[in-house]
Amino acid sequence: MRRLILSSLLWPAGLLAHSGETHDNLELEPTAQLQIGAMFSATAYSAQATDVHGLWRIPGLLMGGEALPNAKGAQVDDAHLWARYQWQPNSAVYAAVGTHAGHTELSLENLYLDYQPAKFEKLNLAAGLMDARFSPNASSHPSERQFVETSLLAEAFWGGSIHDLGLRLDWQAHPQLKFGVELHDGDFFPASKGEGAQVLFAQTEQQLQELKLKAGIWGLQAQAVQRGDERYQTGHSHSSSSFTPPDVRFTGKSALMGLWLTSSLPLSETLQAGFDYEAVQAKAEGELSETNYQAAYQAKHLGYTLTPNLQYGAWNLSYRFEKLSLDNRLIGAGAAVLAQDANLLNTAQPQRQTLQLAWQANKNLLWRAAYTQDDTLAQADERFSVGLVWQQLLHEY
Amino acid sequence: MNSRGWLAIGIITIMTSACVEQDSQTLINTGGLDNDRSFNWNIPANYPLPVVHADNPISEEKFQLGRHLFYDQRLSGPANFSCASCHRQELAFTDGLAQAIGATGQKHPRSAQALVNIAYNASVNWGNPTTVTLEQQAPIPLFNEFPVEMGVNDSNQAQVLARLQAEPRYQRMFKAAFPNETQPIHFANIAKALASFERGLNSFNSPFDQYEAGNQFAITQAAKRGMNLFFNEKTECFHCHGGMNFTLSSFDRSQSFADTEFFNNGLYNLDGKGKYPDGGEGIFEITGKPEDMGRFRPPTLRNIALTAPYMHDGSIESLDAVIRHYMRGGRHITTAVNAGDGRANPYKSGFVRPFDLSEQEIADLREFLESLTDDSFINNPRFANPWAE
Ligand code: HEC
Ligand code: HEC
Repeated sequence: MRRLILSSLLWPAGLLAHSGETHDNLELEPTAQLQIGAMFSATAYSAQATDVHGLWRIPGLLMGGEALPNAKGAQVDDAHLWARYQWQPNSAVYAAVGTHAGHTELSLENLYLDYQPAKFEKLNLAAGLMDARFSPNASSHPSERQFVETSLLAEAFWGGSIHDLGLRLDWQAHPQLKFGVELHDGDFFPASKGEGAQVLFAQTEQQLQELKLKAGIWGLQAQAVQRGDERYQTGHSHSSSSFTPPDVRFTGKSALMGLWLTSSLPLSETLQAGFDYEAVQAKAEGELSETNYQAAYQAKHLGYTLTPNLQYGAWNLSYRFEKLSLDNRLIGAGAAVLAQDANLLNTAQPQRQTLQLAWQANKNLLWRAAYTQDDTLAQADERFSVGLVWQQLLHEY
Repeated sequence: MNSRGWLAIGIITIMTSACVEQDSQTLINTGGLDNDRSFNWNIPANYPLPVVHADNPISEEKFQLGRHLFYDQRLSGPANFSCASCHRQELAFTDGLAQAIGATGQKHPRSAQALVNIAYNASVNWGNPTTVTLEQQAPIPLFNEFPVEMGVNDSNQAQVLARLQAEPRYQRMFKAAFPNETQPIHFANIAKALASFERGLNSFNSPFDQYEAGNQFAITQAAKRGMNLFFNEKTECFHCHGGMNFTLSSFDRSQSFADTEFFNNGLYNLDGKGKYPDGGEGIFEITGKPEDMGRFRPPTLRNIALTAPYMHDGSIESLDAVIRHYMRGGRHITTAVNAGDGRANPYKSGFVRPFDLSEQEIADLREFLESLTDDSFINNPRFANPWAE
């Protein structure tokens, strides 16, 4: 039996199929010319992580992008319709439209061209509006990943998920080793639009007898000019709170480095153990400013995610431990005011733990129930969630 | 093999996880700018210091020299007048007149300003966006011709310097204040010394300050009620007179640039189109922009009870009358001179609009303003005339 969502989807697509998005679970026909599919995730949460103002601002961290907590109550996490059209063996176009958490409007999520030059079969080029693929956590939708909640690393360090105008070049140097470059326009945190972000990565896939292992390392650098936390600024209604946090801007460079691995090992006919891991270091250097204040800013932030899991038949039990440690330095006359206004005063190590049980009802439907202990804010918080995921290949030709 | 694989994964994870933890902390360094607290600023430690320009670092020697000059009549052309003639300590360094009178008897179009916490002023004078430092300001009263203040001019300035040269105290004090100069007695250094003295004139010890610092009994119940009225959207006083100096136009070391703020508070409207009397047109006199007519810097309200009469031309005689002025949303003058309805001045700030207060509330608000009087400031011997010692 083929697993629908669990862990298989955490793997960057490029490693399995040579290119394209991660829909391998749907047993796509590699020679099909046109494929259309849909995916959907909806979840009910018992609570939402928010501070006294009703916002999710982790002390010690400049946040941004789409790093938003799930709202209390039932919500559609995401709903996507995607299509892949391959008109030549070496060229395909991929498009996806969808909605995501908190938004009802439909937006174009992906539209890009995938191309494999005939003379250089080991190269693959993708260009357009696409998801970042340097890590399993780089870009993901609730309907295609193991846990419904975005990983804390992604929320903290790249605003949840990266899809941006860009270019990716992969080089399959060896059947088990791939190198890649991504160049992004920068329309995602920690970059600011038009300022650009660049990624280098290397990924490997190994089979040691029964043990399957994938691992990667990556580095990302991004530039920002006057980047604010757009999540809660006026005009961007992500909260019902009447409080608008001070508009502190960051101008400077961010440099991120990460290391990840995913692994699985069958323990018996029906039982399989898995283990996923990612560690990230995020450094920032630049300037913080507000109308009247400014200060030089340096940050060294670290974080990791550990996810052991057990698969028994159609059941999967997984645990996720996530932790951040945040070191900030502000220098200059405005330092004290800015540290306060940017919510940087902090000595805690934000962490989050999630225990989840998932059940694959059939090929297209998965149920999941989770308990989360959230210590990302000053006030600890716990919540339960129950949800379903549906994926379907609608058309194949 | 499998177990070795797992072992390898385990080791990698443990090792990297150990590397990906550190203490969470946010270190703040305000740039070492706070270390000249060694100078006697009369500013409590919890307040940021004012900005001091790099070409005139503060020192006790300059402060003392500036103090001697400030109180010295020999610094004026006719040798009959000093800065202190118009800026008297017991009146928080104003003169008690509606409009100042200079060394040659000329009337100044403006009222002499209080010199209270002026080190923090984002701009200098009643309404002047171009003069922003005390060093720029100091030569003005010395050399001003329209009107004459200290009466120094081209024909008598050598004489003025010669008078100072002849004073043995100055020989010593200029050397101490400007140790790297061989001929330190000149007007540029006089301006620097005066500016250094003025920077030290800080007042943070009023009953209100003591109340803020935790002494519940420092101000009366009436003043507390008045305080609530002052910091209230009804009166809007705090919008223009907010912050530690009771003025928006305040600038300190924690800020990266100064907001020079100016407002028209509805004093005049000579022609129905917003005109203020000649010589008292606010920053319009400098910018020439129609919308700048009647715009002045909101003055500090510290020691305000000592500095009557009020406004740039001393045209409001008491604090009671000032409060009633704001209650009416401006001033309607019906007598012949300067007649016009300031309430309808098109350039009046939107924060100046009519509101109602009971007689009790007027008294409360006044009592709050009176709680801003700092007796230790007007009695501080450090600021007093050194020639009398
Ligand atoms: C003739 C009276 C007179 C004399 C003498 C005089 N001043 Fe003034 N001072 C004034 C008046 C009037 C103003 C307001 C001027 C304006 O805004 O146009 C003023 C304003 C100031 C200000 C600006 C304060 C603020 O809050 O922006 C400073 C500083 C000052 N004087 C310092 C001095 C010094 C130093 C001297 C001696 C060199 C001096 N004054 C001599 C009348 C005088
Ligand atoms: C729109 C801004 C604004 C508001 C609101 C405002 N003021 Fe003023 N205030 C000023 C300006 C500007 C001046 C100087 C005007 C001038 O000299 O022509 C001034 C002058 C004064 C003065 C005289 C200061 C002096 O040194 O002569 C007092 C006292 C005063 N205001 C008190 C108050 C009180 C009390 C309130 C609330 C009822 C208030 N102000 C509200 C802007 C404002």
